Amino acid sequence: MSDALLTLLKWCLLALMYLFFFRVLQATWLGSTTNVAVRRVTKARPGRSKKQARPAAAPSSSMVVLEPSHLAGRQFNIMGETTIGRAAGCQISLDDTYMSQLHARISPTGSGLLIEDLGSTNGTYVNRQKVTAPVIGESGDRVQLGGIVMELR
Amino acid sequence: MRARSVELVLLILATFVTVVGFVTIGLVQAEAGDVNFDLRDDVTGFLLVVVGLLLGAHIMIRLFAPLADAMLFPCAALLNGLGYVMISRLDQGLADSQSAWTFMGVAAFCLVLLVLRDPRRLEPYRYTLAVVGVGLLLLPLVPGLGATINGARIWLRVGPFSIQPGEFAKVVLAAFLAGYLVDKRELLTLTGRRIGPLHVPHARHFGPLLLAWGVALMVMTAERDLGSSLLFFTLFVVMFYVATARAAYVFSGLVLFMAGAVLSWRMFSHVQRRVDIWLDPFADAKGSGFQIAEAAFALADGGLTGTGLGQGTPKKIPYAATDMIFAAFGEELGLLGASALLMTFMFFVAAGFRVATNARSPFEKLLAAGFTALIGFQAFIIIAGILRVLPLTGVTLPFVSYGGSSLISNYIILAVLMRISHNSTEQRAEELDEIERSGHSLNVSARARSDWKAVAR
Repeated sequence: MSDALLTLLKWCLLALMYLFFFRVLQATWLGSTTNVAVRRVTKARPGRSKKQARPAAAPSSSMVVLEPSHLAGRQFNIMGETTIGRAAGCQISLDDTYMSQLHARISPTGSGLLIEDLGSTNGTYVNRQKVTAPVIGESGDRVQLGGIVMELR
Repeated sequence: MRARSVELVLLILATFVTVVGFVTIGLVQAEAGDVNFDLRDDVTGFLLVVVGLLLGAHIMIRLFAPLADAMLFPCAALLNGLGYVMISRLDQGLADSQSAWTFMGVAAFCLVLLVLRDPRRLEPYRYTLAVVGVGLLLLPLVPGLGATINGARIWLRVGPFSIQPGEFAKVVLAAFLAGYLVDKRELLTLTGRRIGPLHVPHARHFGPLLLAWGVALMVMTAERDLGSSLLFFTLFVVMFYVATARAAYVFSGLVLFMAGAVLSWRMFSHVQRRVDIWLDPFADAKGSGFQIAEAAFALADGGLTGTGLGQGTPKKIPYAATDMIFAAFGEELGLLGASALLMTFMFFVAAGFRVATNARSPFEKLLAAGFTALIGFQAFIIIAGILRVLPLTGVTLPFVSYGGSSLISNYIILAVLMRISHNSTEQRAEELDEIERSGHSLNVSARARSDWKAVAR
């Protein structure tokens, strides 16, 4: 058997292995490793006239801190399920006296960010309404967690 | 079905890798006149078997865990395929039994996927699991049943087969640890006393765990299975850390480990010999250091891209098909191929921890983390031993090495991880559905919105 063929096979094997890794990385990057249920919530919103309706902008995917002032302007891009709290183990770990260790969870969905309170002591508020069941927030909505106020972008 | 189509593409790639490896080895061996290799018939047969196995498992996943992570199974398939190719290059006899073991492994995978619909149901049986685990570990010590191979009494002879019950014991004990720690983690973190920076939990809560750990370690020491003792100890520390999130446990684990290491070094001559070989394998390169020295030569010989499959001399390394298989890959596929193996393990571990973070119940989280750590550290311990990062202790390279018990238990771990992954994704989807149905999506009405804006101005 010619050496050329064997060398070719050797390179072919290595190339295929790295192609495998490329596909793994690509799939991980695109977030399609699990069928994360990204479903559009197409419910008509009550009490909203056409005039008020915002142009169909891209669903919100980031949060910007408005208060307190020393954190103001910090932006968090929500790429996947994100926990917010005082604990160092949270993806977004913010030091605020009124925030619980594990305060809330934010997950991206097709129609905006899904906000869930995780049994925090001082509660999570979206536009000053207490979050008792998970809600979907849109761009411009304000979320308050303890003493921290963030705006969805 | 996006995850499943990603999985299918990856499986096809893994099949290609395996078949190219198989063809290379067949060609080289036919050239050397060792075997009759018929390119068309042999490759067709091999291809049919590989495709049949992978496709069968893939269909089972589609049917019974369609929402599971897409990375886990292809990584395992690639490792298993490459391992088989290398084993067939080293020893055709072993390869024949490895193919039988692979069949059984995939069958076990499908069975667990089919039967274990909710891993949380294992949780109440934690103490039963502990007894079963320790029992499995003790089994080889029973006279008449156990057999000593290569100085380690970790085998069971059942007819023509030899089984290593310790491999299954690891899985069972990891499940016990998960169940136990879920139950007691609050007691372990919140009660007890502080001594300096260290938090010492109450003996009442800590005791059973320490006991189980002690028994397992003692058994393994009695059986002279250093690799497994190290692995089990690491698993213990990792799961403890995952459950309590206290770095102090890792620290005290390290201290305990140092103490244990020094003690066993003092007490056992075979441990001393291992350390001596590790520090200087070339002092007795033809005797006790032979294995590590040969592995080092093999790795050096491989260079960047290796000698090519079938064209190196990995048969010189003792136990090349089991413990030392990584060195054989280093020689024949070089640095690129060996790193590819490492990367596959890395992806597997990353996927496993992803499953753990997404898991819905604490028990499943701990179980997934423990199982992932088991595979990851087992790979680390043996690869580090071959590369002389750690003293060499014999454990198998998961999915790659020859060994039936190891392969089957790893496939069981894989199935449980896939099951947890599927269940958590399914539950998440149901939660989102629930939100959609209840119309909570934006009951924060437009009025509240404008109210807020008025206030904000």
